[in-house]
Amino acid sequence: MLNDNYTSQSIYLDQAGRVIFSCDQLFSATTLSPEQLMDQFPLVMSIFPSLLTTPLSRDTITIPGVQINEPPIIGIFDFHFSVFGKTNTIVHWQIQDLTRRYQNAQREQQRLHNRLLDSHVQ
Amino acid sequence: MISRKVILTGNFGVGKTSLFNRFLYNRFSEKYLTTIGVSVDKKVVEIDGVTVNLILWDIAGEVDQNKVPHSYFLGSSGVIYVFDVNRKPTYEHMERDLAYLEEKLPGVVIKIVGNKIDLLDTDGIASVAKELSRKPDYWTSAKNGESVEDVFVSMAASLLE
Repeated sequence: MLNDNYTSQSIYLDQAGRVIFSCDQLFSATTLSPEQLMDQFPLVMSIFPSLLTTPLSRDTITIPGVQINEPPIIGIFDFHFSVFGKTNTIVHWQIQDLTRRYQNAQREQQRLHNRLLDSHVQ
Repeated sequence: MISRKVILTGNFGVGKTSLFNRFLYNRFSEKYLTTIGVSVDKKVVEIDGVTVNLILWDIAGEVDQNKVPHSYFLGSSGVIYVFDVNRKPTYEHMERDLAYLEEKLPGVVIKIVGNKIDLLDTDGIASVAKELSRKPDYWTSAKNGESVEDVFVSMAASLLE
């Protein structure tokens, strides 16, 4: 696990994408309908069916460095998904706010890429 | 409505984010801002009366496709592989990259896009074309918008076949 401080939110979804429980640490998910939740998080919309059907989904799947520029959350996050249960499947979605860490990495990467692109131009 | 996930991938600095922004928001910036991780957004397109919700993943550029986190491929129906027509290092390993993507994502639709054609004349593009192991599906300019819409609409159409 990570050693530095970060904020995270746990959301539990049923097979239809309904929120069963959310700690609402980063945003209020409890009151959102499945349609609203998927509309606000197209990333989740695009992989949700696969999470429910892919054998891999029995392990935790991490989508690192998810950049979000619009409410309800803004920053760079890691999304972790775990799937439980065979008949009444539950998806545990954990969002870790790693904005500061990724912003530092982004600055480094920007410098490196600029240098490489400049060297090509010259 | 049918939803399909499509990833934009390729080397860094080839204009994936610019294509993403041009198609989704009709905007373009001259300033290069590196992508870290992934940005996701969606756009609805209509193909012959069928509505398709394209969910686009703009993935951080990697020199080698096997450095892309495997989890980014989950649930993908299509791949847009982008290279910069002005930088040979972004297309000289195209065959290796595409073979890797085809192995990891069997059956997905792959569109090859040569971007930044506004920086080359017709002869320059023809010269690049001769060097490629595979023929690009589209030659685009995110800067002036040339063929950008065509890439995504044709992807949506292919995903319905």
